[in-house]
Amino acid sequence: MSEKNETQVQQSVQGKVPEIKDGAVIVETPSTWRTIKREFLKDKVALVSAIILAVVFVTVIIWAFFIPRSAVTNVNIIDQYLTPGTQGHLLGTDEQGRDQVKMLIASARNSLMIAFMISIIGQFFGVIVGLITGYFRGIVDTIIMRVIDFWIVLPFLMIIIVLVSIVPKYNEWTLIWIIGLFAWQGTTRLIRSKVLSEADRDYVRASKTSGSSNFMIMFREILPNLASLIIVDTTLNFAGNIGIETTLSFLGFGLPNGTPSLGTMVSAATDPTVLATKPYVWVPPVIFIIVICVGISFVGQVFRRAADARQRLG
Amino acid sequence: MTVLMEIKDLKVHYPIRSGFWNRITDYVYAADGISFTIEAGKTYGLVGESGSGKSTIGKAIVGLEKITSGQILFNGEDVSKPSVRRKMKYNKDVQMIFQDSLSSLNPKKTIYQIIAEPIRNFDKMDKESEKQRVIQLLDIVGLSKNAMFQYPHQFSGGQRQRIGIARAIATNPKLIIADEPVSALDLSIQAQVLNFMKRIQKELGISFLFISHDLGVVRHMTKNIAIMHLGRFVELGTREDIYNNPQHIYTKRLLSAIPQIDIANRDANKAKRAQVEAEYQEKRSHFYDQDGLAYPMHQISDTHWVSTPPTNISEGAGK
Amino acid sequence: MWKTIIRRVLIMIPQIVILSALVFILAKLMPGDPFSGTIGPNTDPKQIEALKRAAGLFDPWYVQYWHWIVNLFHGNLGQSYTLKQPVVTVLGNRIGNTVWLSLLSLIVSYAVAIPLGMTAGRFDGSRRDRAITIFNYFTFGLPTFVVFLLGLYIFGYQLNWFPTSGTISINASGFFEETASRFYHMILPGILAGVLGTTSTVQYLRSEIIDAKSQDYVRTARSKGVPTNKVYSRHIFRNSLLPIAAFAGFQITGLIGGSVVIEQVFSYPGMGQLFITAITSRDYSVVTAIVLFTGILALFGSLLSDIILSLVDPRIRIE
Repeated sequence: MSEKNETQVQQSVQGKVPEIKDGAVIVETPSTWRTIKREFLKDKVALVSAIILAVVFVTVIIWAFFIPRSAVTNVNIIDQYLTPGTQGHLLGTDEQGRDQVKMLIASARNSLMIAFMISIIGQFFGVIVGLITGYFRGIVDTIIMRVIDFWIVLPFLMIIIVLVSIVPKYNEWTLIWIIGLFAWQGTTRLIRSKVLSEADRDYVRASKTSGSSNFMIMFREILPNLASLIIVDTTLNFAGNIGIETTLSFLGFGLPNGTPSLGTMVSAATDPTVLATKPYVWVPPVIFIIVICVGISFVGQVFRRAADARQRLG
Repeated sequence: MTVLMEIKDLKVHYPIRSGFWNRITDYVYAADGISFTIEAGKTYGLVGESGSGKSTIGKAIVGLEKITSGQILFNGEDVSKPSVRRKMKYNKDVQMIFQDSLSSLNPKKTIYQIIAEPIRNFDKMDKESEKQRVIQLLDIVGLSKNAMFQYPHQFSGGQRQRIGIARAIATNPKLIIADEPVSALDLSIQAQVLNFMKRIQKELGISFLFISHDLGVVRHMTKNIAIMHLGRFVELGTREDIYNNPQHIYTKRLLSAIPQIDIANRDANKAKRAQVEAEYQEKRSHFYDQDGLAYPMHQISDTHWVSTPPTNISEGAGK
Repeated sequence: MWKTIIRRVLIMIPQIVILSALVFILAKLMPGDPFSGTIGPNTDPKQIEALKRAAGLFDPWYVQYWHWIVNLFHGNLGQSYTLKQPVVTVLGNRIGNTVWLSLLSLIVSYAVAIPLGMTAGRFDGSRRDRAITIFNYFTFGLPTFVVFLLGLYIFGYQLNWFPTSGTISINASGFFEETASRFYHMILPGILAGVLGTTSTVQYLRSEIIDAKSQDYVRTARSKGVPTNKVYSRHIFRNSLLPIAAFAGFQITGLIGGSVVIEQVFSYPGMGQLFITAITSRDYSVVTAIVLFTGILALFGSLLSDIILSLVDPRIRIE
């Protein structure tokens, strides 16, 4: 198989002939990345978003390593609601007297990781189910699509809240799987419609007559052609899943106690006095959420345009 | 001559669903009772207008289309079931060249991966000999070995079609179905690719089933021609039978539609075309049954078969 | 046409059955039973046992399900043990608030989305289009609670333009004053929810208008000398009106599902807030009723949308 050689990525430039070793194989068409780069350069807002996101993600993930667990669990009522700048607390302290900056970083890490895991689960099942139903069609496809039509209409927020409150032994993984239960249907629809059109192209027929099994055709022939679509969808869903997790945590049905989330931080504002008189408690996480979610959707739109342009070039 | 493939009463019908319960209410008769034989090393032409079912036959033979009834015998073995085909590695011997060269090559795969795919699946080779084989195939189709690391969109239409040919001949097949292989190409490239296929066919001794709507192209390629209309054969014979002694009104009509560069006799040709068309309209009810379908064929000479009404043999020999 | 609608309506039946089964399973998974609240610590366990038996809690699941369904049809959704009232009464007090708020949001959403979508589509590529697209990213990407909180803080607490909780002022008396007060309480949440709900309508309208601009009927109208404004308002907009109206079905279900968030932020006593209080106080009969009711409402919303869409666009009719 070629996988072993795929590490050796070569650019094939006409005129300059690359050295051939053991049937080395190029894995990426350079034009896709070039298109994305060009789109970013054209769209300054998205470029700025991408830079900010990169900085924020790296900062959060590295910094979170240096925050001891005690910083987010210890309660110190005396230091409650310190205003920003006092006693070395840059953003002040919350109701339990915890440093807001540390809380923000730890919460952001948790919220981002949870949303990331949900996106992975959603994409994994969405892509596999979409590939299978779109490729084989027939009665199974009809049934699965009907189920999804039904599932998508359900009031998922309420059902998630019910599940969260009745599941015994609740922890962040239960939350991930419960949200994941509602995170794959859109992807399935999207992937399926693309697979329907891909499966009707002659390269799939050629693969059949070349003796490749259905499994190989689905995952080795069709899947690479879905790559740009999957990237776009993952990005946009990632933003959506951050929204769902923080919303649930805000309502009190998200991450369990002891695992801080951006949503839990914002939920301090459900107390009208905090909302009205102590904005420094809840505004920082709110701004953080806005920056992340809007930034991701800007970047996602660039990916989408790049993917479309590629399709137009055909 | 050894018989390579025998097709007996092949039928491919697609159901039409309609009505409240989506029941099957009718069928499209894409191929309806087709029988013919393919001998080893020979080239056959299958001609018909679009929608006549000629591509369906090609796909059914290569195993891409589920057949409704009938038999496809390959070296005497019935290969109409997918399980049988898989077991005997049928597609190692029967390959296909597609019409749209761009769509038939996976845009995300290198030429090497594309050509090596059938080799990997059918001939277990080590890496080095697989690579040598791909280089050899590229050489046969006249492309340099540097093409291996490029992607389909980096090639021209003619080059892509040659890559498709390289893939089709990779496993040394005995029969290749070429489904309109040049109709998507520029006229100037068509001749180049056709000559090239002809050369390969001769050198490697492969049987070809050449499917086309273009009688001129088919004439260039083959000696044995079948004319198809609305899912059935209407005439089958050698090049001479079909071009010099067409019997069926549909064949005549197709022949008269070949463009001619003959300015001196332009008006005469035009009149002839009008006459053929008039004959077609007039004898239509005679040559087709009440459903508008062709009758079964009858033999009229050693090589020549024609679809005629069951009772009387047509006297309509032209010219 | 009628066939499509009837078929779509028929699909509702299994959907509602499945929904009711799902909700029933959820209800069974919830800890506690209808008596946990009414029984004190001194009650004899045998008596509880007898009560449970009388209520059918030891029957097989299908018998329980059947009784549950029969009760549903009689409008008997059980008893709220925290409020000591029938669930139907409790719900009835709250539904009105949620429905009115959702309606207001819907109207605001269209009032904002239609001009934005028209402008963006008509002047696509312009500065205005760019600004609207960026606005759209915001409404698409932001979690709603963030916007609601900021809105409440700025317009409610800082600027004091709107009340910060409830549905009606205590001082309001008389029909007009009460209605005015109710409306006043709805304005801020209604506008915020409406603006956040514009994403899909703006996007749809924008791409629809860009498509329509190059179509023949628009070119004809323009070349006939119809003023540009009229072309947009009469010809293009009218064609996009029904599909946009069809979104209302999905929008309403989204709004009612999202009422959980908005009512929690604005302390607005509707169904969403009732849902949260019920689930935190483990009043599961109320929770079950709300999930079931919202689910059925959602199914009807999508039914409505599908029917309107199938009237407009034959491509999306169910086969």
